[in-house]
Amino acid sequence: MIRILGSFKVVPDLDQISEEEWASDPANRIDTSYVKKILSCYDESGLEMMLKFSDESGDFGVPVQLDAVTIGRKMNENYLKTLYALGFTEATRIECEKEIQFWPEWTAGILSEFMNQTERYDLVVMGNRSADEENGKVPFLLAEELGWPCISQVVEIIPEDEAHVKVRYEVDNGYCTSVVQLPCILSIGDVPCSFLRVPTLKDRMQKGKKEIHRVKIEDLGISETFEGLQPDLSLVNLEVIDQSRPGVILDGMNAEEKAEKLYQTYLKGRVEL
Amino acid sequence: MKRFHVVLNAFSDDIEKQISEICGLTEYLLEDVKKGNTFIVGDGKMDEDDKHRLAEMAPTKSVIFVILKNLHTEMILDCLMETMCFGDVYLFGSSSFGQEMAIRLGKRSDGSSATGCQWAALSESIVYVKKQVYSNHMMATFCMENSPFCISAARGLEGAMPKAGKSEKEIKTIDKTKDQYPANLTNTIFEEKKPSGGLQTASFVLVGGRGVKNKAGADALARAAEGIHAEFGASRPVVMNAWAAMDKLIGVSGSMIHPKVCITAGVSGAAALYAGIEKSGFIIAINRDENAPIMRKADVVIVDDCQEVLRALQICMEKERADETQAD
Repeated sequence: MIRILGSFKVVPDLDQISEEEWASDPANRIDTSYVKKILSCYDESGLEMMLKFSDESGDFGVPVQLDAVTIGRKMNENYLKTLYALGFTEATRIECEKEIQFWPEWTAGILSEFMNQTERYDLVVMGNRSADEENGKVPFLLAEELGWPCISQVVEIIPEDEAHVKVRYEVDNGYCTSVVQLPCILSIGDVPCSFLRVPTLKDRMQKGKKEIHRVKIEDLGISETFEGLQPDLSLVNLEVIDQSRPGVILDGMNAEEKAEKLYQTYLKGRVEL
Repeated sequence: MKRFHVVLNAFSDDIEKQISEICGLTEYLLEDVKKGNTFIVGDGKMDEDDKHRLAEMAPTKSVIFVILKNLHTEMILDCLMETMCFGDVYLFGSSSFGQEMAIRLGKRSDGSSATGCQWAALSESIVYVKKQVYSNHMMATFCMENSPFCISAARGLEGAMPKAGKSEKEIKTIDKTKDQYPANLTNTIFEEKKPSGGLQTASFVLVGGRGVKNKAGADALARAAEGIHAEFGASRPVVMNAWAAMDKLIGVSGSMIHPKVCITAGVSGAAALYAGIEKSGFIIAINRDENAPIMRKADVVIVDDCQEVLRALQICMEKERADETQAD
């Protein structure tokens, strides 16, 4: 059996924040507490790819177990319930009420301890970065902690046998497809049509109520007060990126008139006919 | 005294772009840091002429070629670790190779790593980097805590290429082709990416956003682009819904374009997309929603249905073309 752990992060939907609201407080923090939370898009792709892999594994005679883990607040459990309803076997929340940002070493350290304590995974699937931090560090740091290989920019996972998976991944000038020996970490890149499927109401009722495992950070041997820990990068300053341009409104009675004005006033001479 | 080292990937055919990105990143750093080595990683197909051509482009006097059977990060990390000194700065391009190497080298050497950086500088022996965060809404300045410092550039950075020096380059070669390679990846098949239709070099681009609504809307926009002689690009939601091909993706994880004129149609103005078009000379936004963020990030805006405006624009430009032909 291949045991796969999907790791995901719940992040604020940053597109919901208006331009005026982008201002940091004196402590260099952006208040996103009021913003709707969503699954980090690359993690979402990873979770859906795990489900597709599981769908196909029967044809290859490879039994698969899908588990999920997230670090964060209680509200993350809604996503874990959804994953149960979609057929995941074990869902774990590593409890953390504090909002930890710009500290991927901390996240990788916690996941590494979790992996060492559980000692049962062959494959870890996670998104290549989260929209808020834009680091892309956690999969590689976790790979270094565990001493496992890590393949990044993965776009497809295909069952091979119980000790290998076939992986398609993007490289600088193309795509590679390789047979990968397990254990391994796969960091997911841009994958079209990889939105997480929606469970049926019946599955929600029948499977979505399974007990969620909760793990305290201290139980992983890590101080909740972060004693003795320091991020690689210390945040010194945050400033809004000014992207404003004049925004001259082009009026007209109808689309034809506006198009004519656009061409005559702004495009003629600027673009080739 | 800190030394800076540059690591280039000659398995990829964009080595000039890698150097330009690193020069853009280190405009300030170069003045302060004693130059170290340029490591150029490639395979045995490089002949002496190739090596001299690449060495001439390198931003340091000392150039070390690391010859591998294939691009295997473990082999490169071993090689870099053997020559590493406390306080050194390692610089990488923006590619996934550069990002992976910066992170792994930083971790393995008990140093620190920063990825996707726009700027790096040295002040009183402390290395500072700037990078975009919060989906490109904010610019953060970070202080790097631990030496050695491993930094990868942000995509789209451009710096002046180093001038060819008068002194001869010192070239060394480390041959790792006969070493034992880890066998965790086998049966690798490579397929080259299809050309992206010239988005990177186009002077006129039409970008479609979520407002195209569906595949038919995206197809109509692609036809409109053809009609007005513009290259067609798309935002992440359009590509993720498979309404347009992946090679049309514009933004943080797609093409970073710099056309003379860029028209956005049905684009909301999400920062991840805007990062890909911000270097456009002139931006025109067409959107039904006058409050969409893109309306404040464009030079000219039209509040209307994008398909209707583009159909009308196509007719207008075709008429102009016909008039010009007649006049000739």
